Amino acid sequence: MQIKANDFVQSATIAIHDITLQTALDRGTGRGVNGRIAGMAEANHAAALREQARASRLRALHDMPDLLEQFEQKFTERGGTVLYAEDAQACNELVIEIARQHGVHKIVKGKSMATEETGLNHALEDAGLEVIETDLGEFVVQIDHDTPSHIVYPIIHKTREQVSALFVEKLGIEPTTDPGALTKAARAYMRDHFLSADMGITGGNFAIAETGTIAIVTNEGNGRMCSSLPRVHVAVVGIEKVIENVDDFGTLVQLLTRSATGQRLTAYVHMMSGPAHVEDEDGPEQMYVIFLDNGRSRIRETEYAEALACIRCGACLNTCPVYQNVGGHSYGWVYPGPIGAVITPLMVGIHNAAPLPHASSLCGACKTACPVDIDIPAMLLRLRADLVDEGDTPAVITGAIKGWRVAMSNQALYEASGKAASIASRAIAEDGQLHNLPGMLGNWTKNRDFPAFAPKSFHELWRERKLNGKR
Amino acid sequence: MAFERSDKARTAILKRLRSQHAPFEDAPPHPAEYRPVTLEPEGDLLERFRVEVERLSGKVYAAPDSESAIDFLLSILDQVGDVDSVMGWETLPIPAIGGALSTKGITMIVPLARREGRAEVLRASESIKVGITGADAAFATTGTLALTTRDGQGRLPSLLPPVHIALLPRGSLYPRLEDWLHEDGRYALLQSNSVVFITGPSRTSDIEMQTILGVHGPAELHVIVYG
Amino acid sequence: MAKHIRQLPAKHKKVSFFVTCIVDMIYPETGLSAVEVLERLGCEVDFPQAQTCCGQMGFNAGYRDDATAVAKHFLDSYKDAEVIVTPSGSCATMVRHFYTDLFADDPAWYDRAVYAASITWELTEFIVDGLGITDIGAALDLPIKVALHDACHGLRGLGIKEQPRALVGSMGGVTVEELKGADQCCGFGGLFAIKMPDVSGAMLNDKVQAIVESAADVIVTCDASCLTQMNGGLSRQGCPKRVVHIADMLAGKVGQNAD
Repeated sequence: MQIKANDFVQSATIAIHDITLQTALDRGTGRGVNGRIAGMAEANHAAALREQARASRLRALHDMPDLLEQFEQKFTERGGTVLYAEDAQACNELVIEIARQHGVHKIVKGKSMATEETGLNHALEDAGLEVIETDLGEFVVQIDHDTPSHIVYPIIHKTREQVSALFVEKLGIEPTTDPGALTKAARAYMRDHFLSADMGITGGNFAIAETGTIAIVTNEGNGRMCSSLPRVHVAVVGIEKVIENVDDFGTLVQLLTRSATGQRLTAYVHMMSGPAHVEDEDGPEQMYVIFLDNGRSRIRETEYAEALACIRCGACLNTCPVYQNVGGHSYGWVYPGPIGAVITPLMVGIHNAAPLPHASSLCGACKTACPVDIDIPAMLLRLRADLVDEGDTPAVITGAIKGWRVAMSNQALYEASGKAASIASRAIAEDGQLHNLPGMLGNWTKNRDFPAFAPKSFHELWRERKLNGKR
Repeated sequence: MAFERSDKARTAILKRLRSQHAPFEDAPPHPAEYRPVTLEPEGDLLERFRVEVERLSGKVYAAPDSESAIDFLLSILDQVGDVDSVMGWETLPIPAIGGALSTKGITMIVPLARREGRAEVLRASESIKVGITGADAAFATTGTLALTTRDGQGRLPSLLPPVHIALLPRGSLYPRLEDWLHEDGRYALLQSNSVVFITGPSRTSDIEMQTILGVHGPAELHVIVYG
Repeated sequence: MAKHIRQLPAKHKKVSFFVTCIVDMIYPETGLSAVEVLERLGCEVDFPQAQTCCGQMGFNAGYRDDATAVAKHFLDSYKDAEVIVTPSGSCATMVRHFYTDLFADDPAWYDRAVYAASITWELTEFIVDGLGITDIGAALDLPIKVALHDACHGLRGLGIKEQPRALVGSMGGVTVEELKGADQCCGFGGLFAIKMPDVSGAMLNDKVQAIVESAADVIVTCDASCLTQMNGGLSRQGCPKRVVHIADMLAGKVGQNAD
C-alpha cells in the first residue's frame, strides 16, 4: 500500500469536515467501545485476565525463534509446509510461486492485514491471477478500489447508501439500502467463486507452537470457506503471532473477540494444523504457512518490542478520540489508530510517518483498552524523542523549546518572561480573551480563545501575601 | 526458486532472532492454573448453554434420549420444508438417523470434495439445504460447539448448507472452553488438522454495524442435546 | 504511563506547594485557592520561589534534553521539601512517572527523582488519600449544579477519579450531574493543540457539545490545561457555561461573583 502517513494533518482536516464519515465513525467506534466494555465487565476478573494475556504474549516474544521452529516441526509432521519471507516482496513472490506450482488461476481471500501490508492482491493480479476478497467489508473495499480504514471493521467509514451505489454499479443489483439485501447480494456473488476457486489465502490470528495450529477468527464463515474448499490453502502470518500453547490461546482468543467486537467468541474459530488427512472427505490438499518478517524481527530488539504483543483487536482504535474524529485513512497506511501510530513509523521508517507519533494527546485511553496492556503512550513519547534526535522536527518549535528551557531554568528569567507575556496579552485582549494570536500560536486561536495572562503572577501574589502578614 | 529463498529467509530470520538479546526476560512464567475467561457457570449447564445459543439466534432442543433426538431432527426438517436430501457426517453419533431419514425418503449425502472434480462436487452440493453433524464438545458459558474433522466427520456439512443441525451428547457439554481445551482440546488439536468452534449462526455487521445472519456459513443453527 | 512509584504516606502536614507555570501566570487566584484550602485543613504551606515548571511540555514534544534541564531546576527548587502538592494531575504525573525515565542513566539525579516522585501529590488525592478528608466543610452561597471532567493524566496516570467527586459532592449547595464522556480527552495534549489544531479542535467540539447538553451549569476539573482548552472552546462558541478548577470550587469562589 502506498504510504501517505506524512499527509496526516491534511488528511485529518478533510476527514473532520466529512459529515458522512463522522456519522459512520460515531456509530462504529461507539459500538466497538460499548461492546468491549460490556465484554470485559462480565469476564472472570478482567484485570487478572489482561495480565495473564499480556504475560503469554511477552513470553512468546521472548521465545520467538524456538516457538517458530516448534510450530514448523509440528505443522510439517501433519503434512503442511512452512515458508519464510523476509519482506513484502518475498512474501508476494512466494504466494505467486505456490500458485504457479499448483496450477492456480482463481484465489479466494479472507481478511488479512499482513497481506494488506505486503500489497499481495496487486501483486497477484499483476501476475495474472484472479483474486476475490471474501470478507464482506474487504470485498466492498476491493471492488471500490478503496483501502480498509479499521483493523476489524474495514468499512467503518462507509454508509449503506455508499455500499448500495457500489453494488448497483459493480454487481448490477436492484437498488436497495437494506443491509440484509446487500449482504445477500454479496453472498450470492461470492458463492460460486468459493466453490470453484483453486486457492484460498487467509491470515492467521494466532500460530500455536505446541500443536502446530493456525487459528482464524471470523464471523461470516468466509475464513472457513477459504481454508476448506479450495485445493490449496495459504496462511500469511506475521512472525510475532506465534504463541506457546493451547492454554495461552484459550485466553487470548477470548480477549481478542471481547475487545474487538464485544463477542464472547466469534461465530467461527477455525484451527488448522495441516492439510486434509488422506482419509478426510474434504479439505485442502496442500496447506502452506508463510511466516512474514517485514521488519518485525528488527522491532523485537528495540525498546519498541512491546508493540509486537498486539493481537490486532482494534480496541485502541475504537477508544481513541483522535481516531474517532479522523478515521483510519488519515493515518496513511495499513495500520491506523494508536497502534498504527507506533508500528507504521517503525515499519516504514519514521521519516515517512513523522506526524503519526504526534497524532495523539497522550490521553492513555488506548492503553486502558488494550487487552494486553501495551503502553502505547510511552512508545509515542519515545518516537517523538527519536524524531527530535534525528532532527525531524520543525525549526520554529525547536527554537521555541530552547527559549522555554532557558526561561524555565532560571527564576528571574521565568518571572520576567511571564511579566512580558502578561503585559502583551492584556494589551490586545478583549474582555480578558485573546482571539487572534500571531504565528504558530494562531493555530490555537483559529478555533479557540485563549485567556490573557493575569496582571500579577502567583509568585507576586505570594510575596504580597507574606508582606501583608499572612504566611 | 522461491522456496530456496524461503530456506535462506528462514536461516536469516532465525539467526537474527537468536542473535538478539531476547526481550521480556522477566515476563511472568506460566500460571500453575490458567484463569478461565468466563465466570464459572451456576445452575444447570444445559440451561445456560441454551440461553447462550438462543441469544445468538440459534436454537437448542433437549432430548431425553436418541429416539426423541431423531424426532426433533425430523420436525426441524419439516419446518425447513421440501427437504429431499441432506448432507452430513458419515459417522453420526446416532446411527439410527440413517434409517429414519430413508424412511422419510430423504437421501443422506456425504460429499467427497477432494482432488480433481472438487468444484463439481461443491457446486452439486449447493442445492442441499440442511447439514447434519455431531459435535465433539460444547461449552456452556459461550454457547459454543467444537467440531473436529476426521474420517467420517467432514468440514462441509457444518459450513455449506444454510441450515446446520448439530447432535450433541449431553455428556459432551463442558462448562467452559478452558475445561475442554486444557486436555481433550489439546489432544484434538494434536490429532485433527481442522477443528472449528461454532458459536451461533454466521453473521456480519460490516454495513453500518447492523448484524445480518447467514453471510457465508449457515444462517440457522439447531443444536439437539440428547441423553 | 510508566510504572507508578509508590507514595510515602503524608505523615506531616508541612506542604511545599508547586503552583505550576499555567496557574502561576494565567490563573494565580486558583493557586491562592489551593493554598487557602490546604491551610484551612491545617497544613503549613510553603512556596519555594525558585520554582518554575515541571518540564512536561518539552518532554511530551520529544525534547528530552531540554526537559531534563527544566526537571533539574524543579528538583533543585524542591530539594528541602517533605511533601509536594500541586493543583495539576498532569504535572504530578510528570514528576511521579517520567522523572525517573529522564534520569535513568544519571545515578545522582535518579535518586533525587525517585524521592521527588515519592513525595509528590495532586491536590485532591492529597486531601482525600493523604489527609483522609472527603468533606472539607465547604459550602456555596447559591446552589449550583456541577459535573466533573476527568483530566486524562490524573485519571489514567494517577487514578484520580473518586477523590474530586467525593470532595465536590460533599459541598453544601452542590448537586453533581452527569457529563457525557467525562473521561474522554478534551483535546489539549500540550503542543498537540498547536501542531494538530483541527484534530484538537474536533475533540474540543465533542467536549463542548457534551458540556452544552449536560444539566450542569459549571464543569469542575483538576487540571488548568484542560480548563484552558475547554473554556477556550466554550468562549469562542458563545456558550455561557464555564469550566472551573476544583481548588476555586473548594475555596468557595464559584457561584458568588463567578464567571
